[in-house]
Amino acid sequence: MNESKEYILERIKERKSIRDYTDQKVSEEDLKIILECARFAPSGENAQPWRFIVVRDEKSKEFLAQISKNGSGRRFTGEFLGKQMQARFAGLEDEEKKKKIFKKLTSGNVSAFVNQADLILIVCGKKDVWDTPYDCSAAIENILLAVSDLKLGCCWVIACVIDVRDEMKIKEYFNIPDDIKIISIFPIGYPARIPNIRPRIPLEKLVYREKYGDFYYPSREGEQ
Amino acid sequence: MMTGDKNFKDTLFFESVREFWNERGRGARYRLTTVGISFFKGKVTLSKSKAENIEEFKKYLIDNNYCQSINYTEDNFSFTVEVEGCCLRNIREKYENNGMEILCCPIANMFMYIMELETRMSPELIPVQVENNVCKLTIAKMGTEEVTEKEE
Repeated sequence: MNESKEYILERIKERKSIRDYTDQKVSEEDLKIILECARFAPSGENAQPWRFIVVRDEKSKEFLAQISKNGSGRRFTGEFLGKQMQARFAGLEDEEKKKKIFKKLTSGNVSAFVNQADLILIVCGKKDVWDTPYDCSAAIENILLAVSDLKLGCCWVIACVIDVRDEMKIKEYFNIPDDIKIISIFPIGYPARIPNIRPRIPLEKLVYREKYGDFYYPSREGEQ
Repeated sequence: MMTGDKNFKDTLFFESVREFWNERGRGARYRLTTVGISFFKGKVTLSKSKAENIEEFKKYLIDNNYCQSINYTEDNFSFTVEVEGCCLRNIREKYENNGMEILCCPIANMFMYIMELETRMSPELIPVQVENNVCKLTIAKMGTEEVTEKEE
């Protein structure tokens, strides 16, 4: 594979979920590039169901951070009470580390960072089209890649809207009409810390030949 | 008035939820957390007191044969309701017979709504446990790291 063919792969690998931001502002020029990239995503029947709200007001960002924190926190608190969390981390022998992880998850702080970013983009979708979730997800991937290419940081956050009760609160706050649904929110700013790349499942375990079950790529030596 | 086979409506409800599960996966349960609330709100008079609201809802459910009995306990982190002989048993069994978790419980949703009226924060229903015709609904009140210090 030559360098030019790897270009897109490298750009995609550079994208990380950023949860720590500096105070530096995102320029209007960069924001517009990001939004234009979203606008040129594919959509079924060219419906272009996406709509965007740019949130820079501190109070509104705090509101979204609080809902995100509550959303994540209660889900993980539920998982802790239901013992699913303990089962998920059963393989982790370091009890102190495990306790630290449990505290972080149940506190909801994993999603409470969103107001640290300079702005939050709310991605909404029109309900009265066939493929809104898919169309908007295509636009979202364009947003994520554009942000990364501009050396900005972003994180796809759904904790604040996955539950219909939270989505209703946000819709009311931002005057979002009934025929529009919220897909996700995206804090965007300059990264203060860039995490390492997260592990990915190898192609050998993802791709099948002709029908589901028969792997397309042979397993590497030593792998199951 | 014609009523038809009650199992027909139960089957329709279950199949609608199942198709939603097929489309949305595990996230489906978070889109069904308000199911039943508007109906119950029209039947139960809610006051400002959580304790009164819980008792009022419990009385309504038993008096109107939605279930045989309801017992509940509460601590700092969770509210647990045991519902015996629920009228939605047919639907619950369809989940069980299809190897699915119970994705939607309108009674739990209403209890969560009552709790949210007090805290203004949506609670979380953990997976429903069923034993001897009793559904155990455990509701995590809110996200808090203090739960990790809870004694077993």
